[in-house]
Amino acid sequence: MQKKIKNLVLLSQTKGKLDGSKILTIAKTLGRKELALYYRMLYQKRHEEKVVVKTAIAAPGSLILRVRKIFAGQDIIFPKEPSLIAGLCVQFADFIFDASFQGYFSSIRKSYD
Amino acid sequence: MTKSTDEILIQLQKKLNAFGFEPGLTNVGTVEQMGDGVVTVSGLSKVAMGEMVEFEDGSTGFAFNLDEDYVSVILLSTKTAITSGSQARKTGNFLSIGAAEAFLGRVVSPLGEPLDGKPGIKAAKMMPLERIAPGVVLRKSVNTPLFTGIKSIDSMIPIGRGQRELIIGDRSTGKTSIALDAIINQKVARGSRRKQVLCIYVAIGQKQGNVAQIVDKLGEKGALSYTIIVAAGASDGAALQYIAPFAGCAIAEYFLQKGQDVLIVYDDLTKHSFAYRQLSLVLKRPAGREAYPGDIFYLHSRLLERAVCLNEKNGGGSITALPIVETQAADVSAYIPTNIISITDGQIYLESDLFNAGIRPAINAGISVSRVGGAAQTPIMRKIAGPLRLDLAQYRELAAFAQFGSDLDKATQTRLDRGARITEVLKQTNYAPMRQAHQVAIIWAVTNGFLDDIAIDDVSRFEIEFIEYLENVEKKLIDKIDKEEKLTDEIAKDLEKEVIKFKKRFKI
Ligand SMILES: Nc1ncnc2c1ncn2[C@@H]1O[C@H](COP(=O)(O)OP(=O)(O)OP(=O)(O)O)[C@@H](O)[C@H]1O
Ligand SMILES: [Mg+2]
Repeated sequence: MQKKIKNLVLLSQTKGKLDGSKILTIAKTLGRKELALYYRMLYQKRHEEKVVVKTAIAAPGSLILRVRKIFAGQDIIFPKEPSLIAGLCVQFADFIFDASFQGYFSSIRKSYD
Repeated sequence: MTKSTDEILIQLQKKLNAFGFEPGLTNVGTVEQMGDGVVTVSGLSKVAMGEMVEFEDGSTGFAFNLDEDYVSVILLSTKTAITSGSQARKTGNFLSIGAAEAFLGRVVSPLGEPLDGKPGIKAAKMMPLERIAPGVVLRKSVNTPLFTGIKSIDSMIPIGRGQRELIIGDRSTGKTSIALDAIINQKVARGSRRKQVLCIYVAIGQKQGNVAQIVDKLGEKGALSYTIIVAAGASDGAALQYIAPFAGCAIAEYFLQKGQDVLIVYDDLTKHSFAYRQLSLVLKRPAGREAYPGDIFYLHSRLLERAVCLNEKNGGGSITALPIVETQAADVSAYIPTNIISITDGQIYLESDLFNAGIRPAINAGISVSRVGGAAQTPIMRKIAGPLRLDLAQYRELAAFAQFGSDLDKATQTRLDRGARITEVLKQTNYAPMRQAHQVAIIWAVTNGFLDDIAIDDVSRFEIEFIEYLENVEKKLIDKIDKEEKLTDEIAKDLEKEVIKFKKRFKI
């Protein structure tokens, strides 16, 4: 079943991005169990497509421009995350680029453990 | 005053610089499922097999299955609860254990944490648990004996440094006792011309009480100072039990790299197989014979291949492995026993019938072998042990016939008497390993017929008093045997003279 649903997720895309109308058509053909798995995989896929740029203070325009250039064509969101203290943290697919004070401090704490 | 503050500031700055925080890419994943000590994580596309994974709450595990979409992580330590949806990150480190001389005399977990209530141990070096065994060019053939102090083993099934000798038998037949005797006997080697052997005892899936007893016993016999105990108890979970022998081996390799000789006991690999089977079933790996996964042979062969005797160019150290396997109803043709028999260089086979009949150690000399053989014996032991094997084999055959009660001719009767006395001499209580020279003296006496006229019931008393006599009156002879290690005419003559002299005293 996993293989089949995986293929369906591939079929739900146009030009490498999820396509709402295709998803609706496919969803109509699925049973409850398959639908649940389909949803989970779509959710994951959506999550992977999105780039999240967290910053301690609201992201400045220059940063937004630069990030847009790097991840051209992808959905990018810029949430504010004060717990970072300073700096930024970028998440895309299953990677995290951490350049925040929070990350720095936790690395210090770990080196004392 | 100001100056010292400045200095402190400079120091602090140096310390800060040393942290070296480099903002970098980390590969992460999301916890999907958790159960039976296995966490399924999506993402983590860059994680490698066997790599450590860290969870948000501080728990750690290692990647054990890499599927198309998921990574299965085996938990090693759990801090708080891991929740579904929480983050897991790749660490870039592989499973490893710290090792140092300070580990000697300690009881540690397979992760290197102390289990004996004493303070933590500072590791000198991190050793990887999984490592390719040394290749052919680094090795030399086994030629140095490793004395166990057990008469029947040192004479008939000699073990050499770098060998893998299986101890196999039903439950409670004295398997652990043989391994412990071998460890205790390494103390005698101190100050001798051969290198001190360091010992590692790996307890897999045993009861805590059992391990405590073993630690006490080793302490009592003064063997703890050169022994490390790695324990993963029955309650520690399958993951820890699975990595325990590899952890022990990694510590052994630390000493090997320093050119030292190490003896490692895996007690026992049957429970290790259970742990591995459990992990594999939880991970839904296809089950094969007796529900073991297909790669269980490889699991044990890669572990035991790491027993090695390095040549001088590579430090000349060695790792001798004594794996223990428990059989059910003496069935050596079960899956795990056959596997390990074929991997090792011989086996010491223990039988409950012998054990119950009071023949202890309950070694069946007929089917126990050491494929290294005489190369790992001193010349004197090799010489006197030759007739021993033959006499015993003939005795067993004749004894079977003699049961029919027919009249026996004199030659046969002598053979039977001799065999009975040899069997008696080879009996030995546990935790009482014997010096080489003592073994030589008594075995020489019995194989040359000097005990034939001693009543069976008196044989063990004869042995004890004879050794005592040699120690007290003829210490020179004992020292000479130890020094020469060859059966010269002179030694043979001296032995004969002393036995005859002692026998006169004994009869009175
Ligand atoms: N040579 C010996 N002489 C007398 N008693 C012995 C001897 N060897 C072992 N024993 C005794 O036999 C019992 C079982 O020994 P041991 O624990 O070594 O067996 P085992 O095969 O390791 O058992 P298990 O299957 O429980 O691991 C112990 O009480 C031990 O003291
Ligand atoms: Mg045991």
